[in-house]
Amino acid sequence: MKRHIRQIALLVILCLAITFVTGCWGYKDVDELFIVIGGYLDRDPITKEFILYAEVLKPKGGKGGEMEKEVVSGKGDTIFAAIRDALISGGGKLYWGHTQVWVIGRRLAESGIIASLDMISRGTEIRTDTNVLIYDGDNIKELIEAHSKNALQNSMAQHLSSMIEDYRLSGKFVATPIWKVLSELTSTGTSLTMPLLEIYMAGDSMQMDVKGIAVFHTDRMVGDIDRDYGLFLYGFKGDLDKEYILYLPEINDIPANALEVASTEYKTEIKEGANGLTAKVRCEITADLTSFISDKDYLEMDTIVFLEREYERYIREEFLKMVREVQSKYGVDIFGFGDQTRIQLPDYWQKVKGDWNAAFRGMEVEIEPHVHITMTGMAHEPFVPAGGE
Amino acid sequence: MPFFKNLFQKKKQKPENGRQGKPPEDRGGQGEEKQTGEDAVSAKLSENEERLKAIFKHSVDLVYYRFQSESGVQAMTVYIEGIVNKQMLSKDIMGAFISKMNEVEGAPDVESLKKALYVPSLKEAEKMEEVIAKITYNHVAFFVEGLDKALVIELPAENSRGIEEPSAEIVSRGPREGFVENISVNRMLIRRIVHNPDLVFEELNLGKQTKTSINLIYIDGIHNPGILKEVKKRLGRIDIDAILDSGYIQGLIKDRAYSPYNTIGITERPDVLAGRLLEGRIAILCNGSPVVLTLPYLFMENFQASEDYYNSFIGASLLRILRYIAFMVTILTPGLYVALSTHHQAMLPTKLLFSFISAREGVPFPTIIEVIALIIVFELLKETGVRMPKAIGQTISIVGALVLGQAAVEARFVSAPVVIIVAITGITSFFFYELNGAIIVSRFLVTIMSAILGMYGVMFSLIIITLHLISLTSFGIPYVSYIGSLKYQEMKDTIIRGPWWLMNLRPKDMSPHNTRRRKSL
Repeated sequence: MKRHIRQIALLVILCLAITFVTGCWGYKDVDELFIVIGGYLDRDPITKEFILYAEVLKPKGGKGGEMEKEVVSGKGDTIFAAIRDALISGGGKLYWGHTQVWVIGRRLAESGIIASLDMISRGTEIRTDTNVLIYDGDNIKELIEAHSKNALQNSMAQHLSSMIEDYRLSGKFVATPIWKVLSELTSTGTSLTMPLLEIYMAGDSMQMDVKGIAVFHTDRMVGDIDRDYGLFLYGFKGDLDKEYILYLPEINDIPANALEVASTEYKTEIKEGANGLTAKVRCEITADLTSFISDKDYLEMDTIVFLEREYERYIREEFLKMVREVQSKYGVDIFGFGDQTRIQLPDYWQKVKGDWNAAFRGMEVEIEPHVHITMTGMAHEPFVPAGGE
Repeated sequence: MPFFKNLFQKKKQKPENGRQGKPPEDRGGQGEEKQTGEDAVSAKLSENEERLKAIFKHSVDLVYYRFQSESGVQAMTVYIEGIVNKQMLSKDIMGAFISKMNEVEGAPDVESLKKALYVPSLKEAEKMEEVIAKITYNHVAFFVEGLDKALVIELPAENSRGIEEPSAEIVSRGPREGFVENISVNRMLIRRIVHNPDLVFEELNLGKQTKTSINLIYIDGIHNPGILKEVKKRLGRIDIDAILDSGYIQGLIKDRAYSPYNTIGITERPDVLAGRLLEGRIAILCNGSPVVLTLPYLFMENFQASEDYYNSFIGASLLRILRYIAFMVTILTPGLYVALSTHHQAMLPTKLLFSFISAREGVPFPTIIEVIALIIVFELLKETGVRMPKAIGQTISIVGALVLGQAAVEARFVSAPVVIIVAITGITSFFFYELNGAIIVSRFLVTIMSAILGMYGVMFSLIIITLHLISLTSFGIPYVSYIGSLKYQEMKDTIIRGPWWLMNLRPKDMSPHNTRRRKSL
């Protein structure tokens, strides 16, 4: 043992050194933590203070191991001050490592979200894959109260998280985690978009849903577009998962149909013309026909070709309608045409990058969709009602 | 650093001083024996008897039996009751002497006695010292009136324990024989497996008071002569009163005495021993101990079982991988739990964190205290289970499982996840009974470091353990040899157990001169 005193001393010194170097002093038992599951941010219209609501889950006690929800709130001139304020009312240190969702009130979003995101994104505890949503209402407290009135899920944040998961296949919106918000916020060629929440009355109970897509100019929200455009916006940006549903509404004598999309590919070609830029978008969609309301036999080639043309027409109309609406109403490039210009016409980009949105507003956009229905997925011939033919 | 240097140098000098001081004492001890034994064997029986009685302090277990041949020659046998075979003594020695001495003409001498007696292991002793040494170890001393020499005859009594399956190394497939305490039975058990004249048993005696018989076993030609030389050197340096079990030798000749990791292997199974001998290892058999030492011993041997070689190599390989996983689990799980639940709550899945929180609700102690206390309680239970008589052992397991497990959780003394984690580490530690001490030390290191430093602590202590293992050697061979090897030949019997038709070579370090096990196809 005596021989090893030197080694042991060295080991002890190393251990001690490590504690000073790493700063890892955060021993805290799990039951002392107040786990914040959802964070809600808004701004006081009069005092301009930040208002923070934190949804905390605490053990209920007893054998079942159930958790119960508690909402703590705080106010302050900065987000950090608001968190500190909430700490006093909460009676303990809030732990943000498991926050599932952040909701930002519309009023705060319209005045700029950098102030709130800065704290969220640079704090060491908060995960950058936490989803961010915008709440379309005046008072964010309403949202939390709406939930507690008819609580299907344990907490509002869990409800929102499962809603985000459920919407994944609908193509109507794509979750925006903090890292994505930050990357779009710092990009000059794409403007930020985020899902917009709404509360409405269904009978006598309040319901939450996604209302649309919030459009941002730099870090300020300038307005929103319809949620049905999500299919084309996110499809164009390449954010959609496979197997989303492309729905063709009933027009004239064509009954409603739906496609399950297997692959989507948008390709954009930017060209410099006499009157500014022209974007030629080529869209390739491969899909299976999954549902239809018709007595027509979709196993026949003619019907399939006819349907493909109808879908192409529908996509063209909707896509151009969306682009024109954004161009005329908000004038911000939420599609990423700027990034395409930077890649394809780097010299031209140097000229316009100072005010890209102005160039975007005057941009001519064309789309050429191609829809391929590969499988009809029908094992039987369609039912023909008795006496129909 | 000069402080440490001084400290270090001083320490170095001390043992030398100690060594210098010792020999005079030793000489004193031996000198006393010599005084009594220096005298040659007397030609008079009564003189011899008196002297032996004086040396053995009139001990009652010594039998002095005088008799006379038909022709009138006086003789005496001296032996310790119980350790010699009385039947053979009376029939083949005393009976033969009484009847056969007639045929001898003149005064009896050693040659004529050898002719008369029926025993093969007969030696003559001129000095009383030799006689005493033999009497205490399975021999009968035979004195004849008028002859100034004694005959010593080996007549071991066959009263050893029956050959049973060793309880520490139970297999579901394979031989059921285990070593016993009697060294000659053990030798026989090995010979019965390895029918080869190259199998060598070298005898030496250790222990100033006990004079315990020790056998060095190896297969000549397969063994590494360098290692054998080193073993003999270390055995020669042993200076101790008593060797009561092979564990004494293990502790005395081990490479790094302060390491909790074993660098000398043990086994109670002749088949395992034969397997190790055939890989070029050397074994040390100690009389009075059913546990045989084998060396060199590598870290990976902790993960091997004799059954691996008897069962299909696919199943055996999977089991071996499982043992490596179990080793990591048993060392790391409490530390990981402490690190994750007290430092890195963000790394846990949300739902798991909630279940940890609700389980800890109302528990008054910090997590680290909870974990360490429960580990200690578990070790206590384990130790009690081993020491208790079998009938009471059952009660202990019921008390341990029900009272401590269930009641402690319900009374909110400890949280349920900690009970689960300690149970997992406990169960997995049973895989490695030879590593028991090392596992406890390593586990405590990881757990305490994780409480101080979180994941850093876990990584840090893993690095310490790894460095320690790498620094170990077993008789010159690196302890972790072959584990990380990427050589095709060396990989076949490490993490996996390769099929027999691929294992063509013996481990090169242990068997440098005869590496080929079978002709490769």
